[in-house]
Amino acid sequence: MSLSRKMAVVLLLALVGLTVASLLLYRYIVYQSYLELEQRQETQELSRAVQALQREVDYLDTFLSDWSSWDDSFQYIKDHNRRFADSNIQDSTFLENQLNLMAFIDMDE
Amino acid sequence: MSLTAILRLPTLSNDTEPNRALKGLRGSEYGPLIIAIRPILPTARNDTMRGYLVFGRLLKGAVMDRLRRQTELDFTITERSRDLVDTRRVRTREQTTISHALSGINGESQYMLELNLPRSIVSQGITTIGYSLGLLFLTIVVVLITVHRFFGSAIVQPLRRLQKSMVDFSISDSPMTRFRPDSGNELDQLSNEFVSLTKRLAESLKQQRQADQQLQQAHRVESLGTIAAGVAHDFNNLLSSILGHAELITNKHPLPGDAGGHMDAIIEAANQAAGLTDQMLTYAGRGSYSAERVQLQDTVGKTLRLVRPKLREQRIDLDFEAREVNVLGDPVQLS
Repeated sequence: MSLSRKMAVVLLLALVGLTVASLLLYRYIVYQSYLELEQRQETQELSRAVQALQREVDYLDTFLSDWSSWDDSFQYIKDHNRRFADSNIQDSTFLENQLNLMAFIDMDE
Repeated sequence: MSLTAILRLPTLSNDTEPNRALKGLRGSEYGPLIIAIRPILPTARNDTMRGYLVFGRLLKGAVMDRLRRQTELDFTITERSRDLVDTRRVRTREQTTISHALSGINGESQYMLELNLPRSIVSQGITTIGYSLGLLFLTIVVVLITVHRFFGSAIVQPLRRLQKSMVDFSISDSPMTRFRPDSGNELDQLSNEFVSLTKRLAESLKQQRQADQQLQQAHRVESLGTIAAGVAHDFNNLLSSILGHAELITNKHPLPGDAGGHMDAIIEAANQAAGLTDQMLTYAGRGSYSAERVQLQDTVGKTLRLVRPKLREQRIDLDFEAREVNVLGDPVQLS
């Protein structure tokens, strides 16, 4: 076998070796880092979604605190007057505040 | 049935914690519901709690659309799978679906959040890796081709030129020394050619050395011949003088007693000496030859007479029987 062919074979083997080494490097180092990065991002996005739900609960609670610490509401729970319900509890109250439930629970009844 | 029972809420008539507020996620027949519960109190909080106010908001429709818009995330709230413990990831080629159990207001986990995320990082990463690998592969190929060409031009071609020069330099037509292109690589061929060439050079040097020695020997012999010719020429002159005077004595004066015989012996010896000088001249390449009929027994007898005293000193007995033998030759050379 001539020197040129031997050299070609050696270089071809080197090419195959370098390619395989590169593939392994990318598979187990670079690709793995991408996976870890993706996992971190997934965790962050999940945390954002859960926090959005929690904020929704907090907003509802804050909105509720306005109504529950209100003299008119306290009077209503005491005397059940219709004027309070007629003037404050309307369809628009539910629609504008995206409420599906509003319940006044009188503990004395 | 009270509303708390309908809502399946923790009891609100807790004496130990009458002003307790609750908030969180709760299931309902209409779907996931977030509720908030607070005791109703006057603004100044100067009276006892008389009841609770409950607000509820279903997590569906416009509410979920708003949350998705705000977060720019694609997620839904669905009933929790029985096999889901906390968080589960299901990855496909395009997206990852994360299921996360949501804790409810009473500690139960009735719903789960399902979040769909595109696998943009990995897909972009794979694309980047693909480009990088392709570029790396191309670079390696280009580098290796360059190395191969450089190797060919820097090593193989000079080796072939050197080998061709050695073949051209070859002085032998032996098949052993011929260039054989299929006998191994260039280095092997060059090595074989070099060995062959060195053998041929060694053989040539040996022959040349022998030729030089022969030439020197020839020069030496030629010089010796020149000297011998000079000596023979001078000696011949002296012998001519001796012979001339001896013949004058013999011809003009009658010699007494045995003197005549002695004089004849002198003349004979001088003639033989003259023959020797002729032989020396012949050896030196300057003599003359003559072919004539010679009686060999006379020639040998004359020579024996000259060498007999020497043979006696050496205690060598001579037994010679003369028979008539005629040969064609130079009598001087034969004697």
